[in-house]
Amino acid sequence: MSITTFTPPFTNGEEASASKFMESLQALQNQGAGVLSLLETDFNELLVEFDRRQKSINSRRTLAWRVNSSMQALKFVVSDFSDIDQANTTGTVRADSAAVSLKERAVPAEAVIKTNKFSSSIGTIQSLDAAQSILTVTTDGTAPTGQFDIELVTPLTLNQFFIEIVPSPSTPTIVVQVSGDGLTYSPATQVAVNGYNVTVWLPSIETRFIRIQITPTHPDVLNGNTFTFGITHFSAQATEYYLRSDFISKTLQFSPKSEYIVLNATKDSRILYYLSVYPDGDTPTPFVEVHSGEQIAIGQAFSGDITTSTGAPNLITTIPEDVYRSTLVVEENGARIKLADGLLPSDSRAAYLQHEYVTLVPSSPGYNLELLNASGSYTAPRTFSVSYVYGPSLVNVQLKVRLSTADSASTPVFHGASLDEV
Amino acid sequence: MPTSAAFTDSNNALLKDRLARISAELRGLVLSTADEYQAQVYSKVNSVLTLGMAMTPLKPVSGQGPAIVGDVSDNYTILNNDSQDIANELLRIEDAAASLFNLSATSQNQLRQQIREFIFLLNPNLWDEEFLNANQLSAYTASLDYNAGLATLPVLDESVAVPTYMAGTNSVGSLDPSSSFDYLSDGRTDTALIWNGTSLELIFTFSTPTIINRLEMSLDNYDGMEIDSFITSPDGNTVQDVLVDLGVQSIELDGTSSKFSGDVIIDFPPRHVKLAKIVINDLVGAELIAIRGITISARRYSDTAQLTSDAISQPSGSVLFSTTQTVFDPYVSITHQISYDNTSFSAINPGQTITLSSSPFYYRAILERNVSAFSNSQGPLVQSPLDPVASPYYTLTNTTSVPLGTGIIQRTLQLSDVSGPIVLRETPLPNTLVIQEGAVVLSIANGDYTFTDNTIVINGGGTGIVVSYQTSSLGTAAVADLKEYYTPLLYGYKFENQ
Repeated sequence: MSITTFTPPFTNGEEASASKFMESLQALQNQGAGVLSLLETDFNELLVEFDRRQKSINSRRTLAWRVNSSMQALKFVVSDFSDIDQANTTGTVRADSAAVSLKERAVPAEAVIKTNKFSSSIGTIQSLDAAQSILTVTTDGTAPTGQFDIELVTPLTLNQFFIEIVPSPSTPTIVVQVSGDGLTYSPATQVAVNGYNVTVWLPSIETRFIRIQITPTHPDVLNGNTFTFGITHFSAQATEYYLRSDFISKTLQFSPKSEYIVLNATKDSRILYYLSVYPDGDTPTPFVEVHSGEQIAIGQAFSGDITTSTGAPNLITTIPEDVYRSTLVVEENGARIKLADGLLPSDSRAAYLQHEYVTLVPSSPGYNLELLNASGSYTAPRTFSVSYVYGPSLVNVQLKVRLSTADSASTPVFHGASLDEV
Repeated sequence: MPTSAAFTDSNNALLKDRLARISAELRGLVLSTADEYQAQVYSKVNSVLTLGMAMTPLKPVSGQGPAIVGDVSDNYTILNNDSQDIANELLRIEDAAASLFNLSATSQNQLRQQIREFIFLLNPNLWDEEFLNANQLSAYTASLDYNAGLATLPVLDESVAVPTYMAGTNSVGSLDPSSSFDYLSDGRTDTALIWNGTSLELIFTFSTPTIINRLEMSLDNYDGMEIDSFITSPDGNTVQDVLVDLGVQSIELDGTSSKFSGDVIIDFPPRHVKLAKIVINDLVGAELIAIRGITISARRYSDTAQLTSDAISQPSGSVLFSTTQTVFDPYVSITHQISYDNTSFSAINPGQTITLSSSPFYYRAILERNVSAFSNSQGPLVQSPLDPVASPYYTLTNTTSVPLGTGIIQRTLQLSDVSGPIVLRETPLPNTLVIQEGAVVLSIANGDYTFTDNTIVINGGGTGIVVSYQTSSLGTAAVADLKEYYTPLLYGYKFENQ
């Protein structure tokens, strides 16, 4: 729609006409109606577009939880339900904040915010919207602590609330305290953050005042000096917890690359971990309790000195078929010999090698570990130090997490775990 | 993030303004009974709610009878009020759009950072500091660039230089008709230089020789591009190779750049630049090279800085210490230290296997600029291996520099007791190198000396040697001007179980 040029319908000296006058006013009004319609349509499209893009970001956030670091063999992710055995899991899984707690018996509470005041430890505050729900703090680059002081209309016994915040790069430090009188504050027992979703577990006390302190680790734009704060959604509930709940993962698979793996998970005396680990194709093994940081043997290591013989001067030794190739190390007099994995002596390009290599030549069973150089001549005897790890190529694993509490008003929280290569 | 009440609030500006207007009218009412007041309030509010997003109806002007003032003024007032309400509604929508844009951008930034931190997660066998955040540092005075994942000397200031861009003749392809080289420096995210081809030789020129030490590139496509050449020149004669200075053969341009931030950030030794050339090749055959913008700048740094890690509990036992760093010797240095009490530190070196005697331990890096390396007398020569203190192969007795104009200086170096190679830090202009022993001019043709890769070797050595040559006053000779722009670059350190 475009704004049309308005031409006055009257000329000097012309007789006045009520219909002409109304006609001109009507034209102006029609333009206004058109503008309003356009604004309404555009605003709706803006909201839909924002929602669409935000959902797209959220789907990528779910995928992001599955990014492994180089040393991780497997991650147990609780930010979605893909890897969770929902039939046997009795705990409450909060996928939005990537947390599992004891099963909840929720008692809804109508927590209505009366006032929400924002202050910052340093910097100047600027509101980004008329409602002052999103605020930007500008500093010299130092991260400020933004503090929201929320007062509820009526005091309630809460032990869990959920907020959505304006996300900042990296995970900000969020400290939550609650109070019944605004004078004495008690800290929250747990805070779980996933992007902009924050779940807070509180001590079970009468709450009227909530203090939320957010300290970002980065500015909005990496290397910038502005920090945006905001609470865009708030809901709360009083909750009772079952005394014991289990979280059980589906049976997942990974390809090991080391002799051991280590369970890496939250350490909490109220959380016990059990693993069932067995080679693919074998009968599942029972769950065995493991502690965070405990090593679990997967493969077997071999290490020894081997001397070649004059009968087959290029043959060092035979190694098992299930060797983890990345662990194979061959040294002669302390110097590591390069591995040309996949290059066979029959390959015509072997004649162009500049150095001597070790190759894996398929044999039955396993591989022959052979020397290979361009000339094809090898002297014997030579002594090599050979080490490698071998074991199952594919391992099945299932994790069981037992959460328990002696206080039905508080819960331990499991945030996911990983199996790291050693 | 669901749209909260603040975003879908139907209490829009139109509604609010109209309600405010009728509330003013209602306050002015003088009626007899409460019922009459209530009826008026209901009537007025209902009229606003019924109207919704429509324009207020005009007051009809009768075609018959006399004209009255209200015919004109009332209708103009109605239109005027609606116009004001529309303007306010427009402002409200703009306000909401700005907030939503901000929320969306912060969500994307948060997600990008979350992925980076997942990739570089610690584990029991590896302590890896990549400077993506300051979570693992207990104290630091160094400047941390989270985008590049880099620790430097403290940044004093940064000045951006805007060159003129063009394609070199060795480019393969053509500029997209919808694009322009001006888009590289327009500061906008919705424009991009689009090159349809497999190779772009991007040439940029400054009107005067300008000091630069950083180049940031925002990519528009991330399809396996690579910088295979990056050379600069202060005057069109002397050429300096950035890739050689950084010790790399190429720089990849894709989503993994700058530790998966996707932004290409190249810090390099400072230099005067009037003309530079970057060759970007498309390695995946997409025949598309698209860049949203390039920022070229000069960062000034303080002399010294340090950073100390948090207590490191894992790994333990025998660990390999390694770093990712670029140090421009002899101008800057990085010293690495380890401590078990965070008080008493001892030096360690990258590549060293350390047997940790207890846990936890602390790591400290000290970044320094070697001020003496920038003195004029030390400037022209690389006095290896004791550089910049002295060379064991000669004694430098005097250095003079005479400006000849047009960006060229005459260097004269007086050396005694020459017994080994003399390595020049700067490159003599062609046919200007003259070497004398006393009054005798030595000759390459006669085998008196050799000159290869800026290294002079005088056969049989000599005493009373005078080396003179002409060189660019903005090349290596201008190193003193560049002092504040030098910093060591520490991209990370690791302690890994052996």
